[in-house]
Amino acid sequence: MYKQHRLISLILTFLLMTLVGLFRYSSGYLAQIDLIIIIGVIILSLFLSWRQLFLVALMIILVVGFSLIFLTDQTFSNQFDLIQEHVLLSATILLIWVISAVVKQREKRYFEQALRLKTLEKFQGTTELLTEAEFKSRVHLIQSGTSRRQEHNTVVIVNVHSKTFTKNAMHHYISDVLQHTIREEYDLIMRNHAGHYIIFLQNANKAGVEKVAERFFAAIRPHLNEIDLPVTYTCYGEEDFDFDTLTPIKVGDDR
Amino acid sequence: MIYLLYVIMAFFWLMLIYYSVLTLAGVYRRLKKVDDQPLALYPSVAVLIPCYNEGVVLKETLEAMSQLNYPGELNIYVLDDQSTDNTKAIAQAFMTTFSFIHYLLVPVTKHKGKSSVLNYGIAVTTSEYFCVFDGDNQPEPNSVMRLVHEAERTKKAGGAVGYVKTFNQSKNLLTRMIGLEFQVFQLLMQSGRYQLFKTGALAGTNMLLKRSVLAEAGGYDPVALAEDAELTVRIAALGYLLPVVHHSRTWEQEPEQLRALIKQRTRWLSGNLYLLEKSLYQFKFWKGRTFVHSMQHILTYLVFIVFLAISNVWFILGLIGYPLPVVGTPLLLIWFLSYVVYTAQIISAMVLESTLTPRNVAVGMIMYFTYAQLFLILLFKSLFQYITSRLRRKTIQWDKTKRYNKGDVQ
Repeated sequence: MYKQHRLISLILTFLLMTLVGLFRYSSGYLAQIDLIIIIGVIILSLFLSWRQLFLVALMIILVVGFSLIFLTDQTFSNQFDLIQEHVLLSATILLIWVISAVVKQREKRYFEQALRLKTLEKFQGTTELLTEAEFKSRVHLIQSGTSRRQEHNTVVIVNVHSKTFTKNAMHHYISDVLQHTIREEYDLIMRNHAGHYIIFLQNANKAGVEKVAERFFAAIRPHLNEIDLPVTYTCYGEEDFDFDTLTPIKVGDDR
Repeated sequence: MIYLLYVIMAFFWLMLIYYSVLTLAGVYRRLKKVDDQPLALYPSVAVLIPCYNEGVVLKETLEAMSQLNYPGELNIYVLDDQSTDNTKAIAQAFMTTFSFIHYLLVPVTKHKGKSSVLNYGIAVTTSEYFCVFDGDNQPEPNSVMRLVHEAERTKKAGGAVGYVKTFNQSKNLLTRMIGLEFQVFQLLMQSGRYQLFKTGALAGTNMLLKRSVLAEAGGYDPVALAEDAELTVRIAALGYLLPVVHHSRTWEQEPEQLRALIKQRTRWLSGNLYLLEKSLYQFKFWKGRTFVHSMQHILTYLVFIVFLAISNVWFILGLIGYPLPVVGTPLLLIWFLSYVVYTAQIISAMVLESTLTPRNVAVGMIMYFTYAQLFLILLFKSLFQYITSRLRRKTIQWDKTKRYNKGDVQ
């Protein structure tokens, strides 16, 4: 955050320098044109997205550049002055664009974070692979709701056995299928340090686990050549699983 | 003499205006959002990966391929052109695990190279579409699906062309420049030209084609060194479109050493010179949209180079004090605008790719004076090599781009 503040201050300083330079070197009607362009860009920056504003800035830089041909008296010193002015004007426009883009990006990030907060408040599941900390905190939140409603949750640990070359590919594939197999609204999934997948199935009994497993194996079988599928799983009731250490307390039901 | 100079300057002006308009059109097209609406029916696709000694990169390539997300029938074929490293072992490991990955050993052909390998791959597969990826490519999961979406939704499309990104861009100064050049090339040549003239160009990788269109075009030319550019012209001559899909992305490795880059680009430029020669005596290379491609070749590889040579001679004569006629033209401004247009293209590409960092901007600022000038040296080298081989009635041999391990020391 501190770095960003410093960056914005730096950009503002550069903007002031280019503005001073621009009006120091341009005079007469050229100074008026420059002023109109800069005010125009500032006004447009209020309405356009950062990408649209870039297109406008680019057009201005190119059009002004080509129009210098009609303004020059073809002496070396005059051409040099015009080039100097164009560089300062382009830099000013681009710096206004950068400031506008940074502000808009921050605004967008703020809205995204507000939305994420809202989503978290709903205590719902996710089909993304969660980090350990996220998984634990979400399980904790869900459990407080399910225990109130007297519902029972189940934990499934999935093990993937693969060969050296295909290990990463197999893990990508299995995690992708697992994420599409669980219920988006209710269940959670993570991968632990040992490479096993831990799935938290909300309000699910043994029959529910069977259904998920059936869906999962039906999805992977046509895509894998192995006769014995390289995946096994073990189920635990939530009371048989320690969510702090993410390890089972009792022996589970192997499949 | 003075009139020749006026013609040269008029040409440079036109080039500057053309590339400025192309930049704006490219930026406009790239701002369009992706359309991921699913199709009612998905055609079958064969992904062809021509390989020759790809052992150092193939595992990562196939890992990415195994994650391709496509709702229809998709099969991936590793076409091994008699590799001598562990390419076969890696491909077979994937084949024994995944039912949609296949390993095919390509028989020895008369003309060694990518074109012959692809012709073989097409002959032994039966899908409606085929998609080509180089052996070092790591496509994003939705890349093939997006190519198919666009090809199916565009009237008279012969296929579609995706976007190529550089995954080793931050390795060194050279790879950073190549990465930026690729972004610019795709912004201008692909997005801009498609926006203005509806002319997409096959990129050699991350490209999709209808099998029937390739059959109508007569397959890949086994002698062509820039097989993608050559096929593009023949497909355009048949009246088919090749829409550009910048949301379909693949990541590839670029040369990390100057020597490898010179080798690669000499081959590309020789391939383009072969195409230029073809276009000079074949009328079909100038029909309809093909005109844009052929014109681009003539202007870049013939007119531009001749005019540049003359202007360089003019400049040297001026330096040594030879009495030259005075021309009333703002030469300093022309030079400045060339720099502005070139750098504007680079900055635009950075903005669209969200790679606008202080380091990239600094590199972009010096590319006009360094990397861009390399093109001239390479073009003269290729020209010499091409003319020599034509005089000796020899075919230039296919030369594979060097691949690097992630941990290779520079």
